[in-house]
Amino acid sequence: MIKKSLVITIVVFVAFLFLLEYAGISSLKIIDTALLAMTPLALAAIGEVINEKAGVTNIGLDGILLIGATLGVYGAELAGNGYIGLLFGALAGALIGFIHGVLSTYGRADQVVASMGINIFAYGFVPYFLMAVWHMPGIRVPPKEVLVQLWNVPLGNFYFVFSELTILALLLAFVFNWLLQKTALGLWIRAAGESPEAIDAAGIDVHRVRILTATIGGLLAGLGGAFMSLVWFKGVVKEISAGRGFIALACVVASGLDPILATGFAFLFGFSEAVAYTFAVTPGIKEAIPYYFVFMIPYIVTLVVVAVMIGKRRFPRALGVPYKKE
Amino acid sequence: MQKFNLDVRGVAETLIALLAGLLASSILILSYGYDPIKAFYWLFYGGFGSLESILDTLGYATPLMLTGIAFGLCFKGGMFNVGVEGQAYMGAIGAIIFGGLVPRLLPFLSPFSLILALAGSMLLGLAWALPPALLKAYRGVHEVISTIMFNWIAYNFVMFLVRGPLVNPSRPEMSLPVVENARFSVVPGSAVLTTAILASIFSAVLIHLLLTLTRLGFEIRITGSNIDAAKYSGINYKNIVITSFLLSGALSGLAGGLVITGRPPVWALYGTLGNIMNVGFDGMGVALIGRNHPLATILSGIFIGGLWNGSRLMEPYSGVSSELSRAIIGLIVIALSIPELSKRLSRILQG
Repeated sequence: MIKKSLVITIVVFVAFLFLLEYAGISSLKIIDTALLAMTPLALAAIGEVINEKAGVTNIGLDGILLIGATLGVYGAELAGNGYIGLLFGALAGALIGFIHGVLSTYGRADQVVASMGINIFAYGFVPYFLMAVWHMPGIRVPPKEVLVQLWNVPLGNFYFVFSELTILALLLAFVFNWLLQKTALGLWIRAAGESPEAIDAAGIDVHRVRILTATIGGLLAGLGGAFMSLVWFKGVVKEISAGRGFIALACVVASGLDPILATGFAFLFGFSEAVAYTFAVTPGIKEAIPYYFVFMIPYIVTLVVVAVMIGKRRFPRALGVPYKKE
Repeated sequence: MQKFNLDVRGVAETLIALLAGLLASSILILSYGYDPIKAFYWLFYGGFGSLESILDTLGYATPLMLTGIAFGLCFKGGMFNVGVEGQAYMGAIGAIIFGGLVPRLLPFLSPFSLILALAGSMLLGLAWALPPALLKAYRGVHEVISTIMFNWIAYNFVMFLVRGPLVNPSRPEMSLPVVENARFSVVPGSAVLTTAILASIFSAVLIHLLLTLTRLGFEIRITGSNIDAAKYSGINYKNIVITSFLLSGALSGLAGGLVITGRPPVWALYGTLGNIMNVGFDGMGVALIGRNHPLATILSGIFIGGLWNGSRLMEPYSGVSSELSRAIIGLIVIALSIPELSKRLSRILQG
């Protein structure tokens, strides 16, 4: 079933690329933008897959992306190095994930409410932080030296642009898939989501497993946020996440908690973003369609894909339910 | 008596969460070198310090109460309608079209402008809530994902309308205003309060009666407290999802409509959407602080309205950015989500 839909997807995709080439739009340019747009979605989605496998839902990914983007720039300027900035953003995300993990386990919190609180907090904290630290209303463009440079690979007369974090995201999808399916830790994670009583009886601390996955989820979302500000957009604005955390959630849900498939969906949504950006600047199209409509494309694609894919999915039995130790 | 005790506990839990949220924010204020006492003084003085500021607070609270009731109604039924934000945007557009554009084109409709504007705003809000409701009922798509996507589609659509077809030709930074007849009366002594607040309070009472007295309200509550029990007892789950969402969308739309018809001085939507943004998101905080009770939502709406109003003084007088008020709401919501918080605290207090 999956294989058939995969083949159809690839055929439609290639046909679409030909159509774009025919319209005079370079498909290579779209694909490299798509890979950049995929990266934060994939990082956040892979982390959330692990997290939900263990039974914790975090709909605060959007807020974590936003805080990761902001604190990433802060860390980069502090250290004068973009890579330290990426680490800073990731650690900020990990801290939020850790707190969410503790609230979801020991605090027995309503996870949806708590993580929506994280989003609301982030939407207020980030403009406050921008003003408090840089005295800037809602925007910070760091000096060029502290950004992380993209790689340029010449392909004929075209320069293909990519980031090492994209490769990291793709690798992580396979590593986490292996981790979930083949390792003891993966077994514990899956059991924490499916039958927490069982691993509790086996002497493994359900709470610690869930806090671990919540922290990993936060770490990757934070890294994705820092990628946006330090690698991709070369600065931060208070709306930089633009609902991407929820698109990442859509990847998680549509994949049925499969890290590799979630990354595939991240590419699809990244691609639709790239199409939107390209349409918004392509002569002929930009005059015909107001760019407000073009910018709806990623959100509409997300809706359609989730609506089509979701019917077949099954989720862990204890997802979102606090575990009470005996 | 039992019920009374439960309510007291609920109020105590809410107050503890409010305190925890404010405490956490004061750490946030301190860590960037500001004075939390000064910041909170201006925040609360600006919100509740004088009759004029209380009236203005009520003005800001007017749409927040409605988005709070809208979110709370779905939450009662176990649904998380994050789409109140986008539904409010569409409601504002409904008010502008039916209270601004239509009466100008068809002058004989002018006496009915206000009713038209409010009906239009409820209709558009409802229409915007329908697709996520159908997706949830028939495809099992989680409403958080679908409603956020609809929020962003609404954002782009409304930006297009406000800067394009619905722009005010003489003031291009905002939309067409609603006509005189489609404006609520301004309460003397206030810059932002109008009689629109009566519509919010009326809706709160109506939804409270719906939830407590009608069969539909009963079914919504059962669905929220135990979805399996609801299904086994013969409640039509799909109907409940769709009805709750439509009601919630209409209320959110009305909230957006009241921002236009009940908020001087512009009676229009800014091209930045500045006067409607976060009306829905902060409504979630209003609902959760009011524990999803429509009547308590009136009070929590006034509280958040006070934060909005007070943050306008906090920024110039203490240097703290007005957006901190949203971070405070977020922290309060996080604190509210933890039932253990008040239990642990009372255990500590009892020794």
